[in-house]
Amino acid sequence: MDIQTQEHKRVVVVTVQGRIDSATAGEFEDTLNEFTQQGKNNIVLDLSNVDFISSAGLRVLVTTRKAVKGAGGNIVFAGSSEQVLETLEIAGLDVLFEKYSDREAAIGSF
Amino acid sequence: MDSATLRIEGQYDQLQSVRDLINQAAENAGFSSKECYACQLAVSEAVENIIRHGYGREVENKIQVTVSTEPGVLNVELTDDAPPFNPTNNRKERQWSIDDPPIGGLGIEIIHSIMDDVEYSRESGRNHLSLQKKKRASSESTD
Repeated sequence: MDIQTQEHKRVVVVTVQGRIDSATAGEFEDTLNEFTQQGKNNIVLDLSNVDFISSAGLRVLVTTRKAVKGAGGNIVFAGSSEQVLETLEIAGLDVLFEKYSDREAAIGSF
Repeated sequence: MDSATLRIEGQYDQLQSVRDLINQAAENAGFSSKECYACQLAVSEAVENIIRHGYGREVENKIQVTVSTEPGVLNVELTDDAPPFNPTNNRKERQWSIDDPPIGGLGIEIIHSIMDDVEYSRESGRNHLSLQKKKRASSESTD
């Protein structure tokens, strides 16, 4: 799994490539926590190149969503792979995240 | 019936080799790519559960993954020597709202959502988890 981050004026963009499972979810969580602990609670996630995500990754998404929402922010998707959408749908959690077709639209939603 | 067995250490970095095995077997059974992904997800969740909840941590103990296929059917049996751990006992009622989504118990719910049959037994001091998935009649091999 590779993670790239990009900080804009009001939004943080986190781009993940590869697999998010129990082997990698901790690193994913640490990256997101770093931002939320700094009060950066507007997060755009680009998961277009994530080819596998298990419940370990979903837990990170759900806990981060709870944290940023509680702080008046939000976490939205700028592109998601079919596999990410499939896992979210199977878990019944697809309704939790706003999804935008590209990064500009997602950033513009804040 | 084709079958294959893989023995891995109870380490999260072994998960991909399990998923590769399951994907290959599901393809052999004639499943669609969407069904192949779902089977990989279910079995990966089951192995992650064994490590996290059965052993309580990553271990060097072996987890055995046996897959067998026939046209339209995938059978997977996971065997481990962790203390007795029946994942099907840990299911929770899933009544949640968008303001209070679930954080725990997702793995076992995913397994049950995907697989048609999930059975646990304890035999000769080992946990056995049997999973079966049948191809949906309406699914296309190209989707």
